[in-house]
Amino acid sequence: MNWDRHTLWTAGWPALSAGAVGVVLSAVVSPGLLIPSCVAVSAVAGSFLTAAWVHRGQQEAKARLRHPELSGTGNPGGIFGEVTQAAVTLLRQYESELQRLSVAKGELEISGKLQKKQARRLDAALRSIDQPVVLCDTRDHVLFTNAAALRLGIIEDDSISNSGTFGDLSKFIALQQLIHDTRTRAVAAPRRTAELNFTINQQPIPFRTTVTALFDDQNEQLGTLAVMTDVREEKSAKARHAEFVSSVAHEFKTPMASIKAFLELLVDGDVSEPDEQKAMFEKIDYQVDRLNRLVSNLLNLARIESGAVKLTREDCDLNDVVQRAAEVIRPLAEERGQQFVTDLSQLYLPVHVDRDFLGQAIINLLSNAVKYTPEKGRITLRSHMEELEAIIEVEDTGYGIPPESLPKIFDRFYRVPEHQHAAKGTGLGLAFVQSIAEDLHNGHIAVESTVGVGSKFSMRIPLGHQDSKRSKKTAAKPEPALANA
Amino acid sequence: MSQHIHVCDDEPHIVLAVSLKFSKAGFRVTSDNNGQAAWDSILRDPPHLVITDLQMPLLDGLGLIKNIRSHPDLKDIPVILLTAKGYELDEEELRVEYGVQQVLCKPFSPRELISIANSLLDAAVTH
Repeated sequence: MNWDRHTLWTAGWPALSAGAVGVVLSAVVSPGLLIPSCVAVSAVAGSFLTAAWVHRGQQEAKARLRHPELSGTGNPGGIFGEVTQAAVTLLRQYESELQRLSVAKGELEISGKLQKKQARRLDAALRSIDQPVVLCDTRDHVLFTNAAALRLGIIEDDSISNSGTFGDLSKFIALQQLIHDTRTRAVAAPRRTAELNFTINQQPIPFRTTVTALFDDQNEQLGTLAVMTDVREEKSAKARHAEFVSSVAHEFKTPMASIKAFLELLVDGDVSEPDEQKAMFEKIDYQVDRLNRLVSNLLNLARIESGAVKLTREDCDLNDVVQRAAEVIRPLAEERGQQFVTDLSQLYLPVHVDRDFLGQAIINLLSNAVKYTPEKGRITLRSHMEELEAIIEVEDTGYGIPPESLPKIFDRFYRVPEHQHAAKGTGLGLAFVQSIAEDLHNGHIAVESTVGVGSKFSMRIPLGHQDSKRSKKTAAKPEPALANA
Repeated sequence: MSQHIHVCDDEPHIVLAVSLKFSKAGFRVTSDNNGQAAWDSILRDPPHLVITDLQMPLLDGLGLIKNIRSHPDLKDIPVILLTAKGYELDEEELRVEYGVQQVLCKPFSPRELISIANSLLDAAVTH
């Protein structure tokens, strides 16, 4: 029977009252029934009151258990008082523990999110690296590769195994060996580097591969990380540097060889006639000048390329610069029986340039045209405006440049093999032109050529005058050797 | 009859100095300034010894030597390679693959050159 407190109290007290009335009536009506009536009424009323008292205790205990904070209002009474007090104490402890766990859970969730974000960030960072990256576990199995490593074919896209790894590197024995050595001998050398070849599009590509053994804070080994760097450009730069040094040495040795040979002939008396001796001294003098030009050219080129050269830029009409260069070269062309034509723009071509350097570049182009164009050939010098640029063109009807030589024509010391018999040169002239146009004047130089037809060099210089109030740098003019580069 | 030397170099001053030295020493000297012209001259008028530069237009020094070594009547002509690239070359390879008897680096001594030429010519006569 589910009696609530109210029912019990409301039923108990009327029952007791009714019982009392019954006792009084029994005593009046039949005095013999007085004692049994009193007993019965007392029993019924006591039962109701006991049930109500117990129920009240239960309800209070339930309330205090539901709301332990109520316990602070005073000691619970009733038959469950002590039990309830113990339960409340325990509940308080559990509540405190729950609160602590809740805070810890929150912290863990935040930490987990942060770690996941950090892991995603690291993953994205590794994937974004241009260099191939391979992460291996302590069994040398691949755990991670970035897109660049995929391109090397180190793993297949769909080759991930059930264990979460991408298998081993058995197809790449040298890399596998380097990783293995680094991992197993990490104490001796935790980082090892070797140049390994990987095949891309059936071409062996050299990669400088550095493998690093990974450890955690407790010095427990976690695996290895291999980072590969394509060293083609680096090797190519080294080769170009070596070639440049070799070319410089060759260019120095050749005039030195003539000087030494002539001097020895003079010393040995192989040349005894005064006229012959004079001619030989003149040849020595020529070779000394040649050496001097070579040194000057190299210095000028180095100054331009290093940015150490000082320019005197000024606002001027580009046609003035072009015209002055034409006047220098015209006599040489006419001496060789060549037709020299100028076709300059009728417009004012405003530029802000170093007249000496730019003039030298145009002279170099014209000088080459004269040297590599046969007699009766035609050399045309043009200028015109195109959008935001002034264009200078030097076109000849010369021997033309073979297609295989065109990409190298502006390289230092490069000379078209087929043309070396036509004229002397250091192979620096066009390198100067390119540096002057592009490095010093933010312009551009290009060439078109057809063997047996001729060549056309086009130099583009940005149009526009600068503020004349701007301070101008002090001049340091190019060495005169530029004219004969 | 004087011995015939053919000199081939694209540097006219080198050709002049070498020609002068050998002429004064009693040799007959012919010369060219590129490998192709030299090969034509050698075919026309075979010399006793060839002195050639390495880097030359049209046909370089090694090309010229290959032509000489592959011709049945000319293959035994001694060759001296006169070059500014001397230190960068593998002399053993030049000797074995091209039959170059001597590599002389520029700058060179004409005195030393004529001494080497005489030794090679003497050795050729002995053979």
